Amino acid sequence: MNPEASLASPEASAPRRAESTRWFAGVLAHGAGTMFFVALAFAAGWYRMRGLWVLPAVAPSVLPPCVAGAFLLGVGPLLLRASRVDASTPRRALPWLGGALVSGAGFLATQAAWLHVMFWYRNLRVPEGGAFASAFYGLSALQVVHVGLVLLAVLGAAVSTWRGGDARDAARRALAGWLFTVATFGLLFLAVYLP
Amino acid sequence: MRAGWVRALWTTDHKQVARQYLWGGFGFLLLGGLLALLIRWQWAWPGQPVPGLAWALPESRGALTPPAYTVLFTLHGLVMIFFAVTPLLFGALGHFVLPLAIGARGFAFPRLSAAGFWAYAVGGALVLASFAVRLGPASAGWTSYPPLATPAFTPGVGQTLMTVAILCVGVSAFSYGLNFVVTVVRCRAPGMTWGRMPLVVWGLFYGAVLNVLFVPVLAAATLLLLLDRVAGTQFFIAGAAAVGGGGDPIVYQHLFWLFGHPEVYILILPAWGMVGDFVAYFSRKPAHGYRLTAGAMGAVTAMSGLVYAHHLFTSGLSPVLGRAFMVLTLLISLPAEVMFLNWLMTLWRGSVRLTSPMLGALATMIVFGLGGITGLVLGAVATDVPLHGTMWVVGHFHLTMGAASFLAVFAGLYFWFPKMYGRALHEGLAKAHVLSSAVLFVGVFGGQLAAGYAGQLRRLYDPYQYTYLKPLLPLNQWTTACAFLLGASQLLFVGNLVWTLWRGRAAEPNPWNVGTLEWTCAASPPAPDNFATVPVVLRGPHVLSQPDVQQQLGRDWMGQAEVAPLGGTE
Repeated sequence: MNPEASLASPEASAPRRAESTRWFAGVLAHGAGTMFFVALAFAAGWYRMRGLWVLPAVAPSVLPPCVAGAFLLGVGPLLLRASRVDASTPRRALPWLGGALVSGAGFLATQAAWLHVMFWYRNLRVPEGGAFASAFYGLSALQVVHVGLVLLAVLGAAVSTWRGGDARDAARRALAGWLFTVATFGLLFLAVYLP
Repeated sequence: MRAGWVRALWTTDHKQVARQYLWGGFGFLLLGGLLALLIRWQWAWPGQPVPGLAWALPESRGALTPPAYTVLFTLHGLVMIFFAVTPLLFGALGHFVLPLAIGARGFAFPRLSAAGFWAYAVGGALVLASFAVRLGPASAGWTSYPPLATPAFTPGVGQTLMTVAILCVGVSAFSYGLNFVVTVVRCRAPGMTWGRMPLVVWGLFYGAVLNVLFVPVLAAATLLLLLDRVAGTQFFIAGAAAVGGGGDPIVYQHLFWLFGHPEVYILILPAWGMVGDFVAYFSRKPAHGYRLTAGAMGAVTAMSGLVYAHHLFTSGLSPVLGRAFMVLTLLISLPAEVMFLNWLMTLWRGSVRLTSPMLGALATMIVFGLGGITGLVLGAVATDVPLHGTMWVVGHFHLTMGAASFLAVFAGLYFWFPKMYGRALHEGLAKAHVLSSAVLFVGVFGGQLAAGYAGQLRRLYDPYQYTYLKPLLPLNQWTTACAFLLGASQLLFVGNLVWTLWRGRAAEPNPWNVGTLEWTCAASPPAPDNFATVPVVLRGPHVLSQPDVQQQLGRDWMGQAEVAPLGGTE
């Protein structure tokens, strides 16, 4: 680091620096969260390799998670647009934030429906389903919790915008959270949902 | 307005949070130490009643039963690692020193510091609560290996409470890890370049990076274990206890050690940083090879996650993988040796002052060196196989993770105590404490190494049931005597601490004559926002014994933010 550059840090940029600090912390936290999911995916991969991945006759189709994934992918561009609206017209972010919430809710609904069908109609139960059922429900639930947290952040940004605030920074942070949930869903898809 | 006690408990001042961690860590250090003494009692006088313990174990009249013994060694390990040494190093010393040493007014996220402490406190409360539940506390070993840690083999709420407690300390470790990394990257004072940070900041920074990366892996393993215990999942339950095919307990071992081995470095990196700084300060010389030392710590950090499977050589690991992990394990010792040589070179021809922090640093060097050398044989497959699961392993990791970290904690505490409380500890008692602890540590853990080399397996309730181990009774009794003396020698510290806090003399502003920001720019104890004005850093932390400084200022040190009368001193 250049000492002069450090010396030149003006006090006037303090809010900007604080926002950058929050952004950096968010990226680190999401990175750590990804490590958490990598560890879970490692466990699921291990069971597959050891032949403990006894896919039941109800072997899940990849179609429902693909639909859920499409909903999840849809959230990102909407958040990106929300984070780039003009500072003078912050309320223009509302439709984008609303769209992101709807798309996120679509993801949650698809996942919930799929897990519901697997549990009640395909009789995939814990503990009878062994390691596969444990990973299927356990890891899906953990990922959904993370998506839910990101959507709560988006909801907070939307409420703040609706009240007249500038929520572009919040949308930017939520975007990092969205990237994280997409990455974890990708891990989940590869490790658990792929037949 | 919040009540005073709420303000005191929910403090966001990093120095106050550090003091909270300090007292919490001391409490658990005492508990873990007492548990260790009971383990030692059992090895010296197996099955004999422990004086004064009949109230806790009335049915055996105070003698340790096999289940009680299992609880002892389980809780000793868990308490010492997760609730004593790590919180003392990071929670207490790290929280106190890091912002001061980089010229920050506090942590980037003060409320996260407070929340982290309370997560730790909740975890600690769960551990204590587990003593009161039916079937007693956790008893599946400190690693909580399944299937032993699953409800099939360790029923009862105690093991579950401990599993949740581990998740709580994981939250705490992650929160301060994140806070430390962000604070070092984003909140350094103007002029505090990476090359001007004290080595202890480097150590804390790297340790924090490892916390952020690998605590989530422990959280994943622990969460799956918790699900197995409370939700009926089948991640780690196998064999006859399993339903629907079950999972595989070995996967837990991989996840656990993927965290567990970096944890060794999490515990030692801040210690290395302290040793690097203290050796320079008290040899009155700049740290030899400062960049190389910081780089070597970085190399160890980078490699720390790549060596974990040497803990699994006997688990049926593929021989090819075994060789790969053996090579990586032996390679990681190289940067550690670079650091060691740099410390020796710093000492070489220095004006060595044997203060209590310096004695602590030298003792840390010695016990860590012994622990490192005895670890090499565990890193190589051929020598690990016969020694695996013996007391050799116990002696080795107690030297590295236990003794070295413990001595570094006290080196740091003796160094920063005047800054923390504004009072000076008695130097003679402090030296006696460090020296006696170091010698007795070598006695205790050296005895364990010898017993392990002779074939004594760890965790045996009564080793002398085996004929070939009967001759080891005198050795274990001698080691137990060292352990009890070690426990007694801690009274030197307790007495010193109590007396100093009650009647101790006020500390001098810069008792160690060093130039780092906490000693030259902040009061003792520091104000809530640390500095009257944020310092502008002009030089590194080890400007010591420079002829031009001595000529201009009449002393052998210079502050990191001190303007030289004639300019130019770097």
